[in-house]
Amino acid sequence: MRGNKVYFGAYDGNVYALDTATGACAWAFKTDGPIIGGLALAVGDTPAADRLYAASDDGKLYALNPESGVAMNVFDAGSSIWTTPLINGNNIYFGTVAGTAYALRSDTLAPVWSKPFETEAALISDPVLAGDKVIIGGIGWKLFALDAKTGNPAWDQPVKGDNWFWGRPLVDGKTIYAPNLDHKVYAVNADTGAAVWPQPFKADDGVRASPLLAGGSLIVADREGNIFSVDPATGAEQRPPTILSRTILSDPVPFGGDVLVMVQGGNLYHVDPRGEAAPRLVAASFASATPAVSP
Amino acid sequence: MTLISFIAIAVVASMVLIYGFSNTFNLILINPLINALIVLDRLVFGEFGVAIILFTLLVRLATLPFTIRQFQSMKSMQAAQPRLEEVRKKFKDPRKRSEEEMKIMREHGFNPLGCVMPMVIQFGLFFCLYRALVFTMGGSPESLIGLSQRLYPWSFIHESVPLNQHFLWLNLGQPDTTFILPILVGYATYVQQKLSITPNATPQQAQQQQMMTWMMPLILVWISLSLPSGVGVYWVATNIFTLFASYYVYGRRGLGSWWHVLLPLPTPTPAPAPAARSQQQAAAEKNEQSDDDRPERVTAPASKVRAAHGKRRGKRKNRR
Repeated sequence: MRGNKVYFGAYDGNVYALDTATGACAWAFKTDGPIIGGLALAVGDTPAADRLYAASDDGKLYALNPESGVAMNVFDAGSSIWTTPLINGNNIYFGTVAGTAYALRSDTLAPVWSKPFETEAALISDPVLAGDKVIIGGIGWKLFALDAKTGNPAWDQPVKGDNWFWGRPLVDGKTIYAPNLDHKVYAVNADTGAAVWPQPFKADDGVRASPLLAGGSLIVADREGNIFSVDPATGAEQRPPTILSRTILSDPVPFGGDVLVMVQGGNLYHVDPRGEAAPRLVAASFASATPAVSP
Repeated sequence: MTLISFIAIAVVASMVLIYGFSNTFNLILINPLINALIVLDRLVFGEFGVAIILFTLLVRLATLPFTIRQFQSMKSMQAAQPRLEEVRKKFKDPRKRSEEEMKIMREHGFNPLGCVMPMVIQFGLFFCLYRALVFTMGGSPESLIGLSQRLYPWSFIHESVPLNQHFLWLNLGQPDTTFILPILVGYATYVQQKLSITPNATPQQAQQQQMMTWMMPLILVWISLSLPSGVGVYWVATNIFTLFASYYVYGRRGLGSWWHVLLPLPTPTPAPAPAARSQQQAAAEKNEQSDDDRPERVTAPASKVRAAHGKRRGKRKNRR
């Protein structure tokens, strides 16, 4: 969100800007492929320097003027981009399904690293920043830490899961919580990549949604619709899960001290992470993306 | 063989009890199929359309004995047709008629299962491939989450995902909106139906077969309008293979029939009256020598097949 506009990308290949008050479409920008990851908004020194970044399945990263929807710069990665770009200072980071990770200057979209990072399998988890490292995972069952300045691997070995790292990892201080489709959430040290918990937390199904810290618990939502409260320090389950019995693929978002969870099919639930109140249906729609909460 | 079958049935039954029917179906058929397709995709450098065609070729080669048996059954059915016709005319009692028919079929080595089995395998694979393509291609990236749970834990399989969905003008995960593939599917089915026609003694049966020759392609066109294009690619490829199998069994005569089925054929001639038939038969026997070089058509009108059969009977007589 920015000013009186809310932005989102769609599978029809468009980036839309809607008026927050009326819902009217302010502008739409068409790309040649679905927008699978989210958008990233960079606030510049002046409103004219603001940029909205959209990565498309057409293999291009677009830098748009958020006011007008005009493309200011385009970078062609040559392979589909499914990740939400990560903005850090003057740099922007993203991965591609060809298994390549890029760092570009946010103003010119010129490459920052001397060569992009390359691995064998698609990089599809949204990159996140942990100190001076970019954390990104993918289909090759590995979670990588890359030096944000050089793109070189920062850990001796990437963290190895038993399936794809697709959900966006959560960084809390020196700990990274990384969900995996092998039904587990891994907690690793951001400096070394070493395991923090005695063993990963095991949910009932694959975990696509990003974990969230709320009410002193790590909230983990699995694909089957179970919402777990996990001790962030030990990885132990704190109480029986809240069962929504609806597919959860989008990330839970904090809402006051509670959590909002969008399930597939479009229902939005209000979940008490302490487990004191039953989950409450707050909205029924046909959407299934991660909701945005107005500040 | 019986012991192996028994063990296989016991294993499948146990799996159904433990995992349920749907999961067992996935474990035994869909998941191996998905993984095999992805391995093939890797072998053909990420061209999934080529992988589907290669898969079709391998499956059809593996089931070639069944296919050949189907053609041989059809061939023997054709040879038996005039004698069956005679029996139908001769015996009014259904029980006696049925006994005689079975006797003739046995003499000609006709196996009803030989005709059915390849069709069952083909339609079974059609359905399984549809399910596999739904998982491998999906409608959206999120549908690949289901795929991740079905892949074997071999890195080279996972590294192939997501698969290249584009092949020629097609998006293999989506129905072909240009209508080219559905038309090809319909035409390929029409050709296959023509190939599988057996000459009928009664006009009613001929009419039924004639109807199926048109109904099946139309149904397949309608279905492929809503199925992923990859399934249509499989169907067209499998029917092309059938043409070659037909050529293998019938030789040049099979190819002759293939060309005939590609062109519109006249409506099969209804069974002639007994008197006319005797004349035809006599004529056929008379022209036996000159008929030897005449190609025998799979889809030939009933009268011609009867003539060919008369020729064989003539040969038998001569041997005696």
